[in-house]
Amino acid sequence: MTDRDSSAESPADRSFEIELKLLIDAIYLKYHYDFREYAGASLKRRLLAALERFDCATLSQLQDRLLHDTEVFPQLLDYLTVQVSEMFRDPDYFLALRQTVIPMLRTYPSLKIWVAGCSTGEEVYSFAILLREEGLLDRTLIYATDINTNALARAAAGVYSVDRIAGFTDNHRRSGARNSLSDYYTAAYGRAMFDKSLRKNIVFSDHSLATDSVFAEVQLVSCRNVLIYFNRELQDRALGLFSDALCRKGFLGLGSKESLRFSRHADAFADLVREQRLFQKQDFAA
Amino acid sequence: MLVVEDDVRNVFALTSVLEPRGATVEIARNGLEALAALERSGKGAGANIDLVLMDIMMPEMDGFTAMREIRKRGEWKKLPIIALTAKAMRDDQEKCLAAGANDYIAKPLDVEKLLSLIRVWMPK
Repeated sequence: MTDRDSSAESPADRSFEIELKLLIDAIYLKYHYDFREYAGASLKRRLLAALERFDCATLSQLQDRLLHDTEVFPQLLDYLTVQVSEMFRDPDYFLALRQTVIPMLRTYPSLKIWVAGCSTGEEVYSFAILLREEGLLDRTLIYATDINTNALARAAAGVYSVDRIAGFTDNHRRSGARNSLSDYYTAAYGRAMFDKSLRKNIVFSDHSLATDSVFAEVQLVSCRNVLIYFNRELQDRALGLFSDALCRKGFLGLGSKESLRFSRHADAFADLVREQRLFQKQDFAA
Repeated sequence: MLVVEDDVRNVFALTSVLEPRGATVEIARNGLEALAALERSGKGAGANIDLVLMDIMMPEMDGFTAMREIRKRGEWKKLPIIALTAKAMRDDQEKCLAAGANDYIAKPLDVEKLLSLIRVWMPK
């Protein structure tokens, strides 16, 4: 096959594009979930997987089921939104937080932190544990938000498969922890349940970066590996929300493959720890 | 499972928790005995020691040295080791991890926590 052949759009591709657009519109009109500005490539990949899972030949067939069988949408939502994460993912990010951000957060009498796009909660528990270890959890409120309510329910349960815990333990250690992750969970029957005292100051809440607005003033926003699924416009919308939510000199953490560089909001932030994608909101008070 | 511990009271406490739950427990009283027990247990998939609980303060060869010796051997690189440390010795915990322990638990042992750790680290 020549290059020209592989780059040309076949009639089948064209139909898929049309069906994709119609499906996304149907989801928006019927269920009020807005995927219209999600990045095309990953959405396509996920929908192709969904076709197999729901045993549909085309997206039009899937759309038919989606509109007429209300059981289908929650399952499809998992395909479209659930990101697999791990606790203390990219341990150097958490190490940088401990070393650079925590000393500054310590100066506030009370704290609010927003973990946006928290999925099944691995990042939220990482924050709760880190804050407990740094003696700040009792005076912190953590907002854990996601558009997928199934994922939120799993996050609120705080139960993970026991074979993931060894990896979480290694990450935790590399994040600069001085004690064992086993201080925070009980394992039995193939699962590990995290201590419910960690959840005391966590609010799990349904929130869409595509359609909802700012709900609180916070000192830190952590939103990692979420923006990569958005197109430029939606990234700008989300970053605008973070900028509005952050207090003066507040902190923003993004994922390792995410950047502010081309964003409309780039000037609102300064690099804090560049390699770990930690930023600080600029002070325009002068 | 190999329990490396010189204090008979602790050995008794550990075996009375582990054996009723179906574990076969072998005892070593110091690091040298632990290495000998591992040597006897065989290699690879056929080995009959899946996990080691390692005390630190022991005569002849202490836990730190024993863990470093174990990790020098390619066939034992992935053998899960849980160190049993003294609660007061905070430095011990970091030294255990540096010596090659996968995790640790402070003594006096909290049984539920020990079982959690074993469930996490025991190979499937």
